[in-house]
Amino acid sequence: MKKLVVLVVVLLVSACGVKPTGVVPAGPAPTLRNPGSSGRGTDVTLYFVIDGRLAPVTRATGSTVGVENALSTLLAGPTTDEARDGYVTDLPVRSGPIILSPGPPAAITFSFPLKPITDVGINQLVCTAFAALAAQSSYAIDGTISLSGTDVQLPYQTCQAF
Amino acid sequence: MVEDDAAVREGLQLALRRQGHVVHTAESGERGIEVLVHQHPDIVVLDLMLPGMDGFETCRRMRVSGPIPIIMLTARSDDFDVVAGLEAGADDYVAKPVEPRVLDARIRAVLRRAVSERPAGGQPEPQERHGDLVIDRAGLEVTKGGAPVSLTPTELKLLLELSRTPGQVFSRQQILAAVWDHDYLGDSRLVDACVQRLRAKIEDVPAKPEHVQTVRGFGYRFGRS
Amino acid sequence: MIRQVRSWLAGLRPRLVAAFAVIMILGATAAAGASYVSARTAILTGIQDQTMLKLRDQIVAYLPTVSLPPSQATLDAFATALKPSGALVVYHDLHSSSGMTVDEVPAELHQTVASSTNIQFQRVDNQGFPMFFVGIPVQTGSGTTSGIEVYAKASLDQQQAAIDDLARQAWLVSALALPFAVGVALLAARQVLRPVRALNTAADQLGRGRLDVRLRVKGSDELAQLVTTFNHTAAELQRTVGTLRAMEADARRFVADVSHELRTPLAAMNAVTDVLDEDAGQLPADTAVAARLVSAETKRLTRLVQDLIEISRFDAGRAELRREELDVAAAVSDSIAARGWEPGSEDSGLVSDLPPRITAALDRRRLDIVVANLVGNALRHGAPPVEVVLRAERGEVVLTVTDHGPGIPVEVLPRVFDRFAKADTARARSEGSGLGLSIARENARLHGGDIVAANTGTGARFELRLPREALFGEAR
Repeated sequence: MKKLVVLVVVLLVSACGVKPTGVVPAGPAPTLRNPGSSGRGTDVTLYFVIDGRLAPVTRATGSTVGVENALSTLLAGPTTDEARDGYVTDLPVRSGPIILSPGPPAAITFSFPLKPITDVGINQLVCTAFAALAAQSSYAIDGTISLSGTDVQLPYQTCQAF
Repeated sequence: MVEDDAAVREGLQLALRRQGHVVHTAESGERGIEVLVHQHPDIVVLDLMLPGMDGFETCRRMRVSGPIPIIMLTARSDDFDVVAGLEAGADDYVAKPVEPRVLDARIRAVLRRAVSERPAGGQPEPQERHGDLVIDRAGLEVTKGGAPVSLTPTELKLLLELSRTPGQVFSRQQILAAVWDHDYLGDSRLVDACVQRLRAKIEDVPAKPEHVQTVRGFGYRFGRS
Repeated sequence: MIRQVRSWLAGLRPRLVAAFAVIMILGATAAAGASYVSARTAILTGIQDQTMLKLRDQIVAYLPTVSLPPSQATLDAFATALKPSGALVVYHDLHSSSGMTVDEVPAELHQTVASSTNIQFQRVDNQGFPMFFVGIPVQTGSGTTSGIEVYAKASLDQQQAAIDDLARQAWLVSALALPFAVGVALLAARQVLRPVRALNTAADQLGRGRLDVRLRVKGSDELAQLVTTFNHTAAELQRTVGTLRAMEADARRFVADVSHELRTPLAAMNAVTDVLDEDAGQLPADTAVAARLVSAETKRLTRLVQDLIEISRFDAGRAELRREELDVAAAVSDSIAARGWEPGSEDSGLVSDLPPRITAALDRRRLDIVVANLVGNALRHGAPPVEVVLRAERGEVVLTVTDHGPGIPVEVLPRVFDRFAKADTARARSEGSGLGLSIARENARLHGGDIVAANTGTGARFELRLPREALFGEAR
């Protein structure tokens, strides 16, 4: 009886409030895959939008993809399979030459106006550009790039990962 | 003496004879009455436990034949027997086993009652009149409405003692000492039983006595205070 | 009062109530506690998972733009990118933050994350405020640590408040269960205790001699079995006691019958003892001795039989009390004088203090028996002076008889009033019948009084107490 009471009291007291814990593992860590570290430069990472947030999509390509090609691919929009998985783009479908002038900071010039493009769309462009730069393991050092359109120049852009 | 047990009868007879009494014995009540008729004893000593006619019935029949004094022998001093014996008319009782000395003393006391007042004192006292009751102390006669009342010596002595000082209250112990010559341990039921018998003879309505009155808690008195 | 409370607490009812209350509260607490625990887990898991998943998703999203080894600028960009989580990005000695500082990270977490390829989290108590820290290492494609670690924290204050609310509710539910539990317990206790109380009453009556008490058997539970057993026991007891009483009555009746049967031959013998005594002088010497012996023993035997008859009359309940108003001092004096004892005289050894005018309604003959027995006993067994003192005390008359002898042996004292209890076992045959004190006490009790015996240190004292008036309800 006495033991039971003690047990109950201990349980009641210990169950109260938020108790500190030790270090608890919770699933595998995210993996950094880019040519710089893995030695495989045949993937291209494109940023689309899913559920309102930016999400990277990796496409396997036969060869190394440059920033210009990556951005062109991005502007082409998600594939049918990607669209079926819920990926959309906030960018208008555009084509035309994209010129990269390696910096630092790197500057990218588009042949269409940037103003009509939403912040999310700009972010898609910036992140995809960063990913492509990172894949070449040479350009992403300072963390900013500038974007130029036919109407406006957007300096010091960073990839906002949300 | 009426006693069914031969040994007791013989022993008591021997003891009483040595005290100077002349003893006739009977072994049953019927025989006792016969002896009573033929021998005219002064007193009867009667055992209560008798075969055939028992002591109570014998006592009653002897009472009818005359005012003979009777002393009961109660084999058991059980209260019921004592009361029944006294109601049957016994003057006194002695519980068995009997001390011959005690029996002798009782016998003599009863006989004194019967004898002592008999010789007329000499001085002719006037007859006392209490209502329709007339007591003649000299002649030891009591008449009620002119008719003589037959009293046993004990009843007569009781009446004389009480009526000597009308209105005075006597305790039962006083009455026992005066009438029965009993010591301090006398049985007050003797008095009560005798008073009952006396009332039956001299009162108009024994349940509402005028002459012998009960004083609750104390005793008796004669007449009104 | 305190003792009453204590005895009540020691009873079955409070134990039942307590047991019920404890069980009810345990049940309520367990239920409330279980829901509390699961709710708490849900709340904490919600915020923790949200924090972790959000940060991981952000990292996963951003990682493609990061190349190894990162420069401070890369870390700064990374941290900026993770600004919504206020995260801290660490790469070996380099670090950059959009919220928390590197010092805030718990050392244990930091160590674990540095050598791990798993997401780790830890809750810590920060001066009373619970904090949630998550550390996410970045692993390389080959499954080794990259050296990049991201940390974020979240305050659990709101969660703590919500959980405290839950706890309060759980306690409240438990507390509300208490009066209910006590009520139910009292009800149940009464159900159980009613037959127990009935049994107790019945057993009490049985103990007081009411052997015909029985209980009605209700139901077939353990209590009913107990009642059945009780009834059987009572019936058996009644039967046994009845048998014993019958046997005892038989034995007493036998003594009474024997005594009565002895009386007639004794009456005959007693009638002639005087003759033997008187004529003994004229008999040859041997015959005279024999005659005196027979005479003396006959008288003794007569006394014994008379006492036996007296006792058996008490046993049969046929002893009759005839009270009359009397002066107790005079009655006591008469008793003493009648035995030939003379108070005050040198050789009698008897001193009396009998103040007059103490009256009482007593049975004269029975008082005489008591006085004769007590005084005779003192004169026989004690040593002079024997003091006889009469006093009136409220509703009682008290007569003490004190001697200055050796007193009553302690082993005899408790049963000095028993029949044939002899103080001096060596002297097996005393003058008394051995029944004198028994008869004296029976007589005293018949009056509603009693006699007690005690040793004064210089002798024995017997104290007779008799009520002065007839007791209420006494048969006259």
